[in-house]
Amino acid sequence: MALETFSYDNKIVKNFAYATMLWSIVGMLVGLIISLQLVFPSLNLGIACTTFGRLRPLHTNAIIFAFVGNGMFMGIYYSLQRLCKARMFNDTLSKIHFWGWQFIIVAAALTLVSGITSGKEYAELEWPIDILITLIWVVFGINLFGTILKRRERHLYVAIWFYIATWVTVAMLHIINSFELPVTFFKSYSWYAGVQDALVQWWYGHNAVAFFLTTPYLGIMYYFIPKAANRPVYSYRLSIIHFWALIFLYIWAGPHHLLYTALPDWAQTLGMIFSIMLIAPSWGGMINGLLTLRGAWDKVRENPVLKFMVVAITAYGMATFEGPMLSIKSVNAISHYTDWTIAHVHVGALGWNGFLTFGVLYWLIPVLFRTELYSKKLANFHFWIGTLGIIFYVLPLYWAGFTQSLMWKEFTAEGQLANTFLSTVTRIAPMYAMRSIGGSMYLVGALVMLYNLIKTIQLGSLLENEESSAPALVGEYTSHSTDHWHRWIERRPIQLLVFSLIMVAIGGIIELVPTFLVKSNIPTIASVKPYTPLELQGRDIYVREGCSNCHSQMIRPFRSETERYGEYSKAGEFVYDHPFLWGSKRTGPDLQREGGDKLKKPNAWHFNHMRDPQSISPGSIMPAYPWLMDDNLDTSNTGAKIRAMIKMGVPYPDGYDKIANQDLMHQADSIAQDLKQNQIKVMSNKEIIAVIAYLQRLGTDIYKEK
Amino acid sequence: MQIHILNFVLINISFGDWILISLISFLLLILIVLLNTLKSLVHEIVPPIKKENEKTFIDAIESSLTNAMPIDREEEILLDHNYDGIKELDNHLPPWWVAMFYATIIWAIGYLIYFHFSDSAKLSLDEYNDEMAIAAKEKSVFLEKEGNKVNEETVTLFSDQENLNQGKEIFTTNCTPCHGQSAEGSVGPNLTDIYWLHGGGIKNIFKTVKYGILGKGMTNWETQLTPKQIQQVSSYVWSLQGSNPLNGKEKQGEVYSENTNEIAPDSLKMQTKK
Ligand code: HEC
Repeated sequence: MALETFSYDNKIVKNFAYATMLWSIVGMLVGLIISLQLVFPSLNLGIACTTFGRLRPLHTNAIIFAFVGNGMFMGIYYSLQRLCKARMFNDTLSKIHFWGWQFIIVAAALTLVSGITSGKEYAELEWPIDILITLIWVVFGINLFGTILKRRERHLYVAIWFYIATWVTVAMLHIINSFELPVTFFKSYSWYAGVQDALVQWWYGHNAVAFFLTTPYLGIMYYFIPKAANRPVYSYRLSIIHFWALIFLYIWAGPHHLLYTALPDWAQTLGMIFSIMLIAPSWGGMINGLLTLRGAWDKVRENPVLKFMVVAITAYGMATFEGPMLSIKSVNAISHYTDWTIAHVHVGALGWNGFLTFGVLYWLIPVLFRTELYSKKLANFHFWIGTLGIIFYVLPLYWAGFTQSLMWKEFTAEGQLANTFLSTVTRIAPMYAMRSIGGSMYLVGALVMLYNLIKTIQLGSLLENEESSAPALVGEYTSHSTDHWHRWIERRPIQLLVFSLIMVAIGGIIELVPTFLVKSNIPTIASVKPYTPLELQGRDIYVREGCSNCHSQMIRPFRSETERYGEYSKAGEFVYDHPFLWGSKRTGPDLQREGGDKLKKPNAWHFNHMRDPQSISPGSIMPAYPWLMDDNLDTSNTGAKIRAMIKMGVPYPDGYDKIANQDLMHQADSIAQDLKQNQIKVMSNKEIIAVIAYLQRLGTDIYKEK
Repeated sequence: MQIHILNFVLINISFGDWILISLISFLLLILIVLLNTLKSLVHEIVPPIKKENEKTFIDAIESSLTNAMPIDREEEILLDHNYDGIKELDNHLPPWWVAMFYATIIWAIGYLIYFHFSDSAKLSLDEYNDEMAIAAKEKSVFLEKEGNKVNEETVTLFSDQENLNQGKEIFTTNCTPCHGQSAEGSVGPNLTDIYWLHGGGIKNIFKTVKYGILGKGMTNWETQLTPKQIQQVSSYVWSLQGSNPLNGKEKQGEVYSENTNEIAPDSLKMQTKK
C-alpha cells in the first residue's frame, strides 16, 4: 500500500502551550490576591474592580477556561494529529479557534472586573460572550471531527473517545444553561427562575467539572502517560467500561450541590446515589493510569514528567473519592457552605489539572523544540514545592471548614447558638493566612517552571511542520472473529458521538424535565410577590458586585440554621428569582431572610455596614462598598428590565414598565427620608438606596401569609 | 466546646463509621502501592535472590487485588493495537474494583427504594421536625433544672456589681453597634435618658430585649441570650439612667415612670432595699 506523506501542525500546539503557561500564572495570581483579601480585606484598595466579589469569578474562570481550557486544547491538538495520523483538518480553523478563545478570555476578564456578570457560578459571562463561546466551540468541533474523519488510523484510541464526549457534552451543557433574555448589550436575565435555575445551573456546574476538567484530561492522560513512560496501557477492557460508565453516571450527579435545599427530595436523592456509583468509574481511570506505570517505577523516580503525572493521578483518585463522600447527605450537612468544599476543589485543580498540565508541558516543550529540558533540577524543585504547596493549601482549609461548621452548629446547654457568625469568621482567619502561604508556594513553583521552559525554548528550535507518513485508509474493514465487540464503534466516530450524546442526555432529561413540568415539585406561595422596581435594581447591583460569592441565600432545614437565620427556605419563595442567588459558600452569613424577623435591621445599620463593615462588625472581612453611596442609580433601563421580567412570566400588571420608575422614586424617597431621621444624609437616587431596599425585602414574603 | 464536638460526632456515628471504614480501605490501598514501590526500590539496590516464579507475600496480595498478568508474561495479553506507538494490554478488571462497583450500585438501588418507595424513611423535613422537638425538650428540661426560667413577668432587677458587670459585657459585644458605646444612642435610641419608646423599668426592658421590636430593627435577643443574660443586660441598661453621656441622641418616646411613688432612676435604690 502506498505511503502518504503529510505533516503535523506543531505551531498551533506551541501557541496553545504558550497560552497555557501565561494564563496559569495569571489565574493563580488572582487566586492568591483574593485569598489574601480574606485575611486583609483592605487589599482590594477600595476599588470596585478589585473587590472579592468581582475577582473570585475572574479567578475561577481564568483557571477553568483559560488555564485548563488552553491546556486541554494543547493536549488535544498534539495527540489527536498523531492518533489519527493526520494533520489538523484546517489550519485556518485552528487559528480561529486559538485566537477566538484568547479573545473570549480577555473579554471575560474585562467584563468580570467591570461587574458585568450573569451571576451564575462558573457561567458568569454575559450573553454576547456566551454566543462567542458557542461559535468557537463549533469551530473546534469542526476541526476535531474533520481531523477524525480524514484519519489514517482505522480505530479510534481511547483518548479520542474522551475528546468526543467532551466536545458534545460541553456543547449541550453550555447551550442549555445559557438560555437568557438580553435586556441590554451587557445585561441579561437567566431564562429559568429559582429552583429550576438552580437545578440547571448545578447540572451545568457539576458537569463542567466532569467534562471540562476531567474527561479531556483523562484523554490527555491516556496519551501522554504511555508516551512518557513508554509502557503499554494497563487494561483495554477497563478503558471501555470506565469510559461509558463515567459519562453515563456523571451527568446525574449535579443535584449533590443542592442537598437539603428547596430542591425536591427525589432529585437530591438521585444526585447523591449517582455520586456514590461514580466512585468506581472514576477510579477506573486512576487505576489504568497508575498501573500503566507498573514496571516503570524506576523511571518515575528519575523522570520529573512522570512524577508530576503520578501525583496528578493520585490527586484525581483522592478528589473523586472525596467527592462522593461529600455527596452523602449527612456529610454534606457538615461540609456544605464551608471552606471544606474549597479545599476539595483545589485537590482537583492544583493536583489533577495543574500537575498533569505541568507534566505534559515538561514533556512536550522539549519535544516540540527538539532539545532537552533546560534543568531537571529546577523541574524537581518545582515538583516538591508544588506538592508541598498543595498540602499547605488544603490542610488549613479542611481544618477551617470543619471548625466553622462545628461552630455554626454548636448550641449552649440553654439551647442557644453558642457562636455569633462573626466569631466564626475571626476564628478561621489564621487558617486563611496559612492557605495563602500554600498557594504562594504553588505559584512560585509555576514561575520556576515558566523560567525553565523559556530557557528550554531558547535552547531549541521549533519544528513547525513535522513530516510523517502513513498509508491511507482504503476500502472496508474486514473484521476478525477475534476482535473485541467494542472495536465496532471505534471505527465509527459519528456513532460514537451519537451514543455519547444519548448517554449524557438520559440523566439530564430525567432530572430536568419533571422539575419543569410537574407542578408539585415547586409548591407556590400566594403571598410571594414580584420585586418592586427599586428592589429589582438593588438585586442587580447585588449580582454586579458578586455578593453571592460570599453570601448564600438558602436556609437549610436544620435547627442551627433556622435558629440563626429564621424559617428554612421554601421552593415557592424563589419563583421570581431570575437568576437564583442561592450561592455555594458562606464566607458571610446567609441573607435569604435578611429582611425577616430574626435578622431585620434598620436602614441606617445597612447604610453604615455597607460603607464600612468593620465599623459595625469589628474583624469583619467583608469589603467596604463606598462607591454605592456616591454612584447614581441608573434608572434608564428600569422599563426594559420590567418588560423582560414580564416576558418571562413575572406577573407585573400590564403597562407597568412605563410607570415603574415612579414607584421606584417613591420607595427610594421613603428610605432616604428614614435615613435622614437617623442623621444620615444621602440622596434618594444613589445606588445604596436600591441595595438597602433589596436587603430589607429579602425573605419577608412568607410572613405576610399569616 | 470539646464535649459538644464529641456529642456531635457521636450522634452521627453511623455515617462517621462509614467514612472511617472507607478512608481506611483507601489508605490501605495506597499503602500497598507504596510498599510495592519500596520493594522495587530495595530491589534496585539489593538484587532479589529468589527463584524463578517464586511469589512474595506482597506479590500475592497485589495480584489477588488486581488480578494482573505478571510483567514478564505481558506478551500474552498484549493486543495488536498500536496508536502512535502506544500499545494496549488487556488485563482483567481488578476484582476489588468490580466488587466496589457492584456494591455501590446495589447500595444506590437500596437507598432509592428505602427513601422513595417505602413509608419508613424520613426525608429532610421529617428529620428537621424531629430535631426541633428533641431540642425543645432538652432545653426545657435544662432550664427547669437550672432555675433559669425568669420571664418578663417574674424578672427582677439585679443591682449587685457582678451581675451588672456581666450585663455590661453583654452590652458591649451585642448592643453598641446600634446604641453606642455608652448607650448614648446612634441607629437605636438613647438608653440613658428618661424617654422610652417601649417603656422603661426592668420588666419592659426585659421584654423589649427578649422579643425585639421587629420591623424597627431591634433584634429578638431570646435566640442568642439566655433569660438570665437578658436579665443582666436589662439591669445594666436600667442602671445607666441619668448617666448623661457625651453626644446623647435627642429624646425619643415618652417620659417613663413606674406606677409607684418613686421616680424611675430611684428604682435602683428600691431594689437594694429589698
Ligand atoms: C468577602 C466576602 C463578602 C462579600 C463579597 C460580601 N460580604 Fe457581606 N458579609 C461578609 C461577612 C464575613 C459578614 C459577617 C460580618 C459582618 O457583619 O460584616 C457579612 C455580613 C453582611 C451582612 C449582615 C448580615 C447579618 O445579618 O448580620 C449583610 C447585609 C451583607 N453582608 C451584605 C452584603 C452585600 C449586599 C454584599 C455585596 C454588595 C456583600 N455583603 C458582599 C462577607 C462578604
